[in-house]
Amino acid sequence: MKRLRLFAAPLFALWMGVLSSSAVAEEVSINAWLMRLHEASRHRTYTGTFVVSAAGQMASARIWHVCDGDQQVERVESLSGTPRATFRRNDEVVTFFPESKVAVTENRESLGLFPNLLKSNTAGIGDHYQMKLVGSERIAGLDAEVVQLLPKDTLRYGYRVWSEKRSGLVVQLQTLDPDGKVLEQAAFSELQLDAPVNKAKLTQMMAATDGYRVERRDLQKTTAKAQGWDMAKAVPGFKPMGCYTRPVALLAGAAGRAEQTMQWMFSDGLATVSLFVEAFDVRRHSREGATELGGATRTHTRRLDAWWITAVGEAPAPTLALFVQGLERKK
Amino acid sequence: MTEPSASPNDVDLLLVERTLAGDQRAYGLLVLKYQRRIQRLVGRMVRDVDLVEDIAQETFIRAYRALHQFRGDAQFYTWLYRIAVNTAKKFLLELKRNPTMSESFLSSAEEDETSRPKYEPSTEETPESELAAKEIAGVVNTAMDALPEELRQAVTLREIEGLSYEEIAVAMDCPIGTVRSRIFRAREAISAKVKPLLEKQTGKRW
Amino acid sequence: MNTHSQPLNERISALMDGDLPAAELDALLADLAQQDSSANDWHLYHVAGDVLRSQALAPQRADLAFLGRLELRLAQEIVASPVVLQPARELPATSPLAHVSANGPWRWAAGATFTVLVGVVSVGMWGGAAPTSPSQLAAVPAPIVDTAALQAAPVMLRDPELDALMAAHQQMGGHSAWQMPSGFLRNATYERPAR
Repeated sequence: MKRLRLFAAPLFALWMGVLSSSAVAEEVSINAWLMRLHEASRHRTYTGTFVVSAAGQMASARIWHVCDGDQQVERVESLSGTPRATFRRNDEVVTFFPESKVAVTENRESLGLFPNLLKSNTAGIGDHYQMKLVGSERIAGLDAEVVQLLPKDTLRYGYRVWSEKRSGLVVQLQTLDPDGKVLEQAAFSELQLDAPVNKAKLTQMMAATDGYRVERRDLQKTTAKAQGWDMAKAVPGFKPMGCYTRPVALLAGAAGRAEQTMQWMFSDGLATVSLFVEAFDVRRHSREGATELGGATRTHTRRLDAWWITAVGEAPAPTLALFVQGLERKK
Repeated sequence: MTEPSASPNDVDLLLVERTLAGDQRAYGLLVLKYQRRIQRLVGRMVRDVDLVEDIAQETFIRAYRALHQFRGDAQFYTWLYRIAVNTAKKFLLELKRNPTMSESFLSSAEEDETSRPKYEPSTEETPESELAAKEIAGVVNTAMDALPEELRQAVTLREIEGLSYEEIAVAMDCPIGTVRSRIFRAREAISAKVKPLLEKQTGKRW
Repeated sequence: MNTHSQPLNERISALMDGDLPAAELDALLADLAQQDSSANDWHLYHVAGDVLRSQALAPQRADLAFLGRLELRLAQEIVASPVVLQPARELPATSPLAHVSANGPWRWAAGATFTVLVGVVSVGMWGGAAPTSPSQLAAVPAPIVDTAALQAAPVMLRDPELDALMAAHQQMGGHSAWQMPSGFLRNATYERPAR
């Protein structure tokens, strides 16, 4: 891997210094460290094979990522499940389904939110997670630092992160339950940093929707308040990140259903929870309570008068229960 | 009476849906409903009673795994029937290929039972279990004979002739509510006699 | 027709014959799935009908034992599926596995068995995934994901409603630090197909 450049050496040194210093600096260190990971992922050019294994199931994809100044272009091609290729240029996302000849276009504006979250003074990831450098390991042929972020309360999961030593790129991420068991793992099984990736070609492929039926999945930006909802009892550490209405049916391909669903997102910086509110429908909605869907993502459902509320997120069951219980109708 | 009601097939479909939604006991209800038919079906293809039970078990496991593929356009039993036949064929093929296979398979299947209370080996059970089945059949027939005529007729039209409540109401010249109540009372009377026998069976197995 | 005034077992009987108003189905099915006595009525009525149709359908062996044995295997299906890589005590109250009853005919997998199985499965899947210290980590080579174990895992039960919400959640999961690149990749890798 002689192509690796010492991209972030000064920052890296700083980070190591912060890591070994007192707890007072901890928040700074977590934020700085996460920022470095984030920047690494944006500014590097690489190709690799990515494997997600969530207990019992495994999915893999091939990725091409290129960065050119401020523009990032990315192609992710699934190697398992339904054949599909997802292209992303900054916040613009197009997913091609060659079998059904459908191309789904979305605007994931949320992708840009993360750095802002970190930069804001109120982010406080360090209030809820403790960071610990636990060693180093080779992953996909690269030297990686292994860092653990363990929750300070029982409302969230822990994480173990493998970050490539020189670039900071996350090469493996594990989500841990309170007993330290791995709920889910996402990792590069193979990664080539600074690989030659042709941006023009990716952009061209992304625009090649000829012969495809193009579906737009438009989200309407809204506020919970405008929709008549309020979080009466906030779940510690989780901040509201945005609220949308959307037709959920388009996502699942479920037939004959395109009702607007409100999606209110919350994050503590590492974990994300979505609160969905739909009109209650006796034919579809029968099962209240908690469900595990495999891996780190869980759901919790509750009926509230004429509404059906579902929390979905990478958080322990009681946390999701708090979310659905905390939601209150204001109209 | 114009309210929509579910056909028996819809009930199966609903149970499938509930199972898929995570309610495993709904699947148990389907098993309780169809296991005897599946066992009889397999029993026609395979003689060994233990093997019949294993194949029936395997059938329900496979059906469970494939449950999300059940679309409700066929009857659940038809769908299950196909799985049972394929499962039995596969077993028989493997037995043919490898005569020792039968032993090893059975022993691995028995591993599941290490955590259960032990029961006596089943070698001598065949005649006994046949006796038990005969006894149950006898009790059912006796209970039927003892039923008042209108209850016996209602339950016969339903269970043996397969008529709907409406058709039975026409045949017996009575309101549908009466049909419902007669069939229910007949079932109650029969099951009251069968219950102790089933409990005896259960006790023996567990 | 409102049949609520009728006894529960009469409604079960009507349900079997498809003569229950659709509006009542859900409540009754829920009851059937929750109450052992209702499930027993369901079983007995079906046995009666089967035997009336053919003596050959009389249960030769205990039906409930058959079901009990099946449930143990089904419990393993659940364990082997992602769902339960966690201690049994954390199971949500609504989980079918929480209905554990020592004596009832409905023997859903007993807690002890369950926990043991969880242990086995997680070790098999994740290799050295136990809580780590630096030295442990250094000793463990790249975490071993046992492909065989992963692939042998059976189909997970899914609710399309929840799938849709989960996909929507993942699509917007960009509020987390993990979004880049793992989160985005994870979601792109995982995302459910649109049809």
